[in-house]
Amino acid sequence: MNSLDLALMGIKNLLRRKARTILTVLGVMIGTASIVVMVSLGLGMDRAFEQQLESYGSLTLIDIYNNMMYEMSGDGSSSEGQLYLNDDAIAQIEAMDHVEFAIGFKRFDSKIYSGKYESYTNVKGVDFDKLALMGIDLSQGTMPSKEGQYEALFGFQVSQNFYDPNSRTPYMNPPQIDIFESKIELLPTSQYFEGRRPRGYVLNPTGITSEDDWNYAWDIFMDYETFEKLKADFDRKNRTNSDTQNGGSRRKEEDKNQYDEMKVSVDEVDNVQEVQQQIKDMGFEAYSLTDALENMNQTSSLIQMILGGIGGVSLFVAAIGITNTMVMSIYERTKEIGVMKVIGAQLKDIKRLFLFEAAMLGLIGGSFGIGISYGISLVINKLVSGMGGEMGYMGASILSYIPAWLALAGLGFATMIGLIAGYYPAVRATKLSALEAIRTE
Amino acid sequence: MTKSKEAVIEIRDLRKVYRIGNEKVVALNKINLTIQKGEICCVLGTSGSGKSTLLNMMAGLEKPSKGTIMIKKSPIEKMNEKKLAKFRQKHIGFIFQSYNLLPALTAVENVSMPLIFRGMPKFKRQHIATKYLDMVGLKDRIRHKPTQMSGGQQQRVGIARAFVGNPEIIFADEPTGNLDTKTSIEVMHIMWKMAREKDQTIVIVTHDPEVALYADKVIHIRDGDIQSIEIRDEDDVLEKYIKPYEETYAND
Repeated sequence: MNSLDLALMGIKNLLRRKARTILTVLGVMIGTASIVVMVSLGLGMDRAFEQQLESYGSLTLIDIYNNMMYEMSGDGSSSEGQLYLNDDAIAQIEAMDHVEFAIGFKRFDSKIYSGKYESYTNVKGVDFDKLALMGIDLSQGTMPSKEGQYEALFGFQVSQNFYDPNSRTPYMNPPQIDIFESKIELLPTSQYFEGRRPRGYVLNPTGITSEDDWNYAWDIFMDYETFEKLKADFDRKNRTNSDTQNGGSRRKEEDKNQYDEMKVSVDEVDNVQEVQQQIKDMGFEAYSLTDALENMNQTSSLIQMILGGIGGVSLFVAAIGITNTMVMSIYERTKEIGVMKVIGAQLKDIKRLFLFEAAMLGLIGGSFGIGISYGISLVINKLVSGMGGEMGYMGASILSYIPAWLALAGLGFATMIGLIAGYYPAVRATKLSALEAIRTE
Repeated sequence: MTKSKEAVIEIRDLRKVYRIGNEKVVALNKINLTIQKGEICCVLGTSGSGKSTLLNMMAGLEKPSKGTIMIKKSPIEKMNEKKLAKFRQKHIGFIFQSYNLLPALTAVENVSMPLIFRGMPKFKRQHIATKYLDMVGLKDRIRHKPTQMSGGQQQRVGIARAFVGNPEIIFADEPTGNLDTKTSIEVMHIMWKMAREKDQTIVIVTHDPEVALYADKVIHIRDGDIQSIEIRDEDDVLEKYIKPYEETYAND
């Protein structure tokens, strides 16, 4: 018996008993939907968490700091094995597999002035060529370049931090300063100036970072070399004013530690932990958002299993429903099966026919179940985003997420369940005595 | 008419005992029987004589307690279910007393069933099934369902279904049992004509002596034993029953 005829016969048989077929399909549908929706909640949780992490920064970045323990023990007696965040380290890390680039940052405590207002701020010295690779989102303007005079990228919170030092309540009413329109002067020192301050360096802000990314909110980025020159120039002009109390030792330290922190960009999220471990093995402190992700994944896969299990119970019940339907169908069709056997049906034809019908019940139930799941998922997400919108928190996030693989897996699983549930009835049908079957009047 | 004397069914020392509770019921005692190729053979007996048991064992639906049944030189009592199914598909057609058509299928679909099981493509089997329905005189009923047909028509569909695979042997279990006399004659006539045409062997089980009139060989069976075997002249059957019938209906 060829497969097409078998399929047609099976479908006809299902259509003949519409009510029972529909009820059985309904059971499978509910079972599939409950599994898929449950798992989708788990996946949605994962996604929401990932999105949240991404708002803290890119998942493919590793932050590197110098290991403080080394510095404390290495009190000048032996600098062998002492690690420093410098261009050598960058070159070393960039040589690793999966590493796209490494970038160093040096913090300089500085002050900026705009008219009568002033603000303490961190200037981060960084190689602008590499900063461009970071793909920082901007809300306004463009990325700075090395070519222009004192070009700088501003964190979006920087303009909020100005205050009037002469006011009695300096922090009460932060001024609205448009950094593109105002003249912004920089002093590369955090020193407090009584009376007249020295002349600063006029910055040329080219862009403001995006409000979605709090990573760089309070920073001003300047090109490392440009800033070094600027600072050297400033120190030369204002030698008397500069802090020289422990300048000797600090200068030495700075020479060794070219950067305060480094960021390493890795090609894919999956490789982050591996690269991070290599960096740790070098002796640096390394952190990434995937640390949290690892933990989260463990918890969420547990939750997903529990949720899936709850959904699984209803699919199990549906499977029993399929078996029941097929067994009933055998009783009903005893005679028909017997006649088929006598007029030339092979045992495997009968087995395949029953398996096919059971699998169809699973498949049809499964596909309706997937449809329903998408509907439920839509409703859940609508409700949640509606609530989230009012609270102004995580507006775009979702609670239930059904990727294509989940839909397909659900469909496959339902069909499989149908096949398994249909196996016993199918074997039973083949074992029916043809004679008994014909005698049934 | 010369006929090739070739045994298609050979039964040796066949015995069947049923066990009902603690009692043993002997359905067939010790049957020895040979049926030749092309024979139209009738097993005649009252109910409870064991004639149906004999047929069921010949068709491989029941296992004998003792003895052998050779069909086309194969011992069918030794075959397992799977082999029997294959064997039936290849060599055997079956006509039932209560027609046993599949109620959901049309006449042509019912007749196609044995061909479907053989894996024949649709256009081909449709053609053959229609041809056989035409042979039993139901060309205008091919799309009808069993419930839309009379008993005689249903049995004719059953006959077409049994013959459609062109099997060597056709077993018929009380084929006229549910039919009136006129329809019975009609049905017997069709079976006779079709079997003769391709030199097929038919074994008919019946309690109706009128049905036995069409047979070349009548096996009288009683209480599990063969009482007598009556050999009849084929030409006699043709002259006495077939021709007069055709003449009556030629006028219709």
